Amino acid sequence: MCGKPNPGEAEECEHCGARLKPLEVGGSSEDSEKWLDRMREDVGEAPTSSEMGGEAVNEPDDTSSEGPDDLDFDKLRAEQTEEKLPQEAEPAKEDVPEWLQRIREKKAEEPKDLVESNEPAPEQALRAAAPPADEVGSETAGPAPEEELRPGSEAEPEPESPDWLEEAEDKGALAEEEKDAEPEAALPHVPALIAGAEKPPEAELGDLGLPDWLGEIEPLEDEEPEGSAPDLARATLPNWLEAMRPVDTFRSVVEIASEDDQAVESVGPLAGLSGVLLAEPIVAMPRTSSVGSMQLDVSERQYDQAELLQRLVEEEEQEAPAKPKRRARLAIYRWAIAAVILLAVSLPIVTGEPSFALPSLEPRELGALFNLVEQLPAERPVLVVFEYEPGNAGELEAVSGALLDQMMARGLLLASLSTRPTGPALAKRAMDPYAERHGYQDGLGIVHLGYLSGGPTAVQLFAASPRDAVLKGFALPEQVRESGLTAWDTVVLERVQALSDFGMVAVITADSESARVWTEQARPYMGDTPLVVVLSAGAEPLIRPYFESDDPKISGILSGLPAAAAYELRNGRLGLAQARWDAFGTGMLAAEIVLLAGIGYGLLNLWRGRSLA
Amino acid sequence: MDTADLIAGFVASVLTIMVLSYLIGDNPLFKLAMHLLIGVAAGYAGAVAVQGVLIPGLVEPILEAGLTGLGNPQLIVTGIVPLALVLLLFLKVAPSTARYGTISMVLLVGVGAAVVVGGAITGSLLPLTLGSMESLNPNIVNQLTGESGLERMLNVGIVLIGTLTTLFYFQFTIRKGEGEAPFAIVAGVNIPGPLTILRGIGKGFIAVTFGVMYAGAVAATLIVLAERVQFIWDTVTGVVESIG
Repeated sequence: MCGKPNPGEAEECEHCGARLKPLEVGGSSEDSEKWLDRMREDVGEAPTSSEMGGEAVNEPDDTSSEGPDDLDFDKLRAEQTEEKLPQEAEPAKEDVPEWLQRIREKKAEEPKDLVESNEPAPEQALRAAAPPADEVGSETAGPAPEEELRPGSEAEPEPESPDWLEEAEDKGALAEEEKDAEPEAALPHVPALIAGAEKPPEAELGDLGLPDWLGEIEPLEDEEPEGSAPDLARATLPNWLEAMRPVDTFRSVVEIASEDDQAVESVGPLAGLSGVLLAEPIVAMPRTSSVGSMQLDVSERQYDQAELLQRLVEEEEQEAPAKPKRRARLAIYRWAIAAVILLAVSLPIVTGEPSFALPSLEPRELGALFNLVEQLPAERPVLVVFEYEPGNAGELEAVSGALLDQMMARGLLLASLSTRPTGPALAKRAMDPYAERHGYQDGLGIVHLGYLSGGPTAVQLFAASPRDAVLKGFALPEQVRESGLTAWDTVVLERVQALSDFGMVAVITADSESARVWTEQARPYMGDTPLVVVLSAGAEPLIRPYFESDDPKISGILSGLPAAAAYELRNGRLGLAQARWDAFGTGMLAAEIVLLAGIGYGLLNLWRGRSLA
Repeated sequence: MDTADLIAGFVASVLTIMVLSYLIGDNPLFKLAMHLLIGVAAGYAGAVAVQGVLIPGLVEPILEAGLTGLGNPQLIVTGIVPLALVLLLFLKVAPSTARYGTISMVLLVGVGAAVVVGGAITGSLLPLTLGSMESLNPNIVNQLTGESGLERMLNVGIVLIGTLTTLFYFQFTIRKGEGEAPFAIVAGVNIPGPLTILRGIGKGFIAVTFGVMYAGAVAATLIVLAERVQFIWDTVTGVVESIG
């Protein structure tokens, strides 16, 4: 232990007194007597074999679990043979220690039905893994110490029927008689006790005269063959005991490795010994706590959720099978529809045929709008708000063209504004052709206020105080910029201080949201100034209620190419609406034909499906 | 058509065809055109914002005031405080300093929400609610549409029925799948209850509304397509004429 050299024949270390040569089983009888005496003294109240007069030999002795290193099994066997008593013989009460008497009384008080029930008490369940009580009782009280030390004793208790206890008692006498004839069960090999010695053969171990309970251990560890005990019904492991079982990570059975594989203990009082039972499995390895191991009260819903969670986790772990690549299908229908519509729209543009007559009827609201523009005062500028993106320019330029043409034909002053960054450029693009037609010049008849940032908040700010919302202007004439003037200083806007100073506000938009924002935020500041909206055809239904109510918030509405074409007819000048009228007409005709064909195809499929069904 | 217009028209025509190539599926030409359009739009919007908003509204007033004018209360309110909010908003770029930009975001979102909600109540909710309560007096003439007499009463009646039945359709007092018990069973045919009938009428009004909106969207798309085809045709003829 101390590592210092000692003579070869020395049995104990001269320096530290540690034993150098391992003890062998079957030492001197004096050593065993000393050990037994020491243990008896330690037990105190436990009567020694001599005190019990030979009857107490069958009584349990806790010291047997100590595993003394100087155990003389031959002597013990001899003593047991000489002093063995019949199994049925009970020791005299006055000789039985008090603690053993309490155990026996407690055992006697146990109700019979509890023993026969499928859920034995914890003590019974523990005892089920131990040898029969009467057999053990002859040697030791309570479960075998080896079973208690072995971690797997709890994990894999051999389920024994409660009948086992009764049957074992009946067979006790017979078993005692046959005990001498039967070979003793093999003693678990503990190399630490016989270090350096070869493993004794089974026959020799059987002759050691081991206690009966120790001999019963080995069969318990083995798998009991089916039919070996046909009268014994397997007990159901109770839930509370199931919960006490160690987790899977805990090694339920400590397999004793071969002698060569066993590590030599390096620290502690057992340093130098090999095959020492490791403390880690008991101390450090995780296992189910026995404290509060109550059965969980799991509801059906919680159980379903737990199952769902488990299924999800299992699905996550599964490798998703590679989806077979879908075979690329040609979009025949899409191509055919696109080709038809494209051809229909292109044909009138390229060939000039077919042509459609311009609409002879006009929307009822068009007359009101036309008259409204006609009656606008020339000295008050008109604010035109361009609230659309470049993608909608093709439609809204055609629809709003007639309105711009009429206003410029009347010589009204125009100012443009937009709450979108691309709006000022679109405003210039939409107004320039008509300005050129009617001789308008930037800064004189038209001025672009530019971009109004801030969305609905900025609209309200502009309505309340236009000059504070827009500071400069967009694409101002060079002489205006050089002189340090702004759009508000031009002839167009010099008299405008508030929104109500405009003669009219026209909002050109592709979505209903912008029209609603201007109606909600700017209308209260406009006074008598009319608000007109030019809409994309898709947004008209949502804005029309503002126009058709008895107290209209919108004074005029213009939407759709037919209305724009009719407007141009009223103006008496050709515009973009009429230029695209034929293409629009053939395109709409083609679209209607495609829709009808689709409806017919769907009905045909429905009819075929029902016929097959 | 001068050379610049010719080149511009040609590029625009090619981009239009690249966008229309989506008909044959997602392809690199379509992606290139979309990236180009988005990039140009974003760059143009940024330039407009700087030129039209930031410089005249924020930079120039501070520069004109100079160091001596920084204490001017009006400049503090209209220039310094907005500049500080803009700088705080810039801190949103980095995750570690993003929380400082929340002040500006709170101001933007809070003020914007208040303006929108207030305007919606006073500008849409109340006027439209009152607008749906029109009088059935046949002598009243709509000042804008000119409707009067029976025509106007019919129109007002349609509005009334449409409003009520649409509201019935969106009532949630009946659980999904349960429905209303049949009013009667005649010759084995269930006669639906009044609520079911009203909900069906409301469903019809909603369907007609969506149909009109869809038809308008199709019409708008066709006008845009016609404009693009016309543009391409004009460009082609212009190129041919210039070559010839």
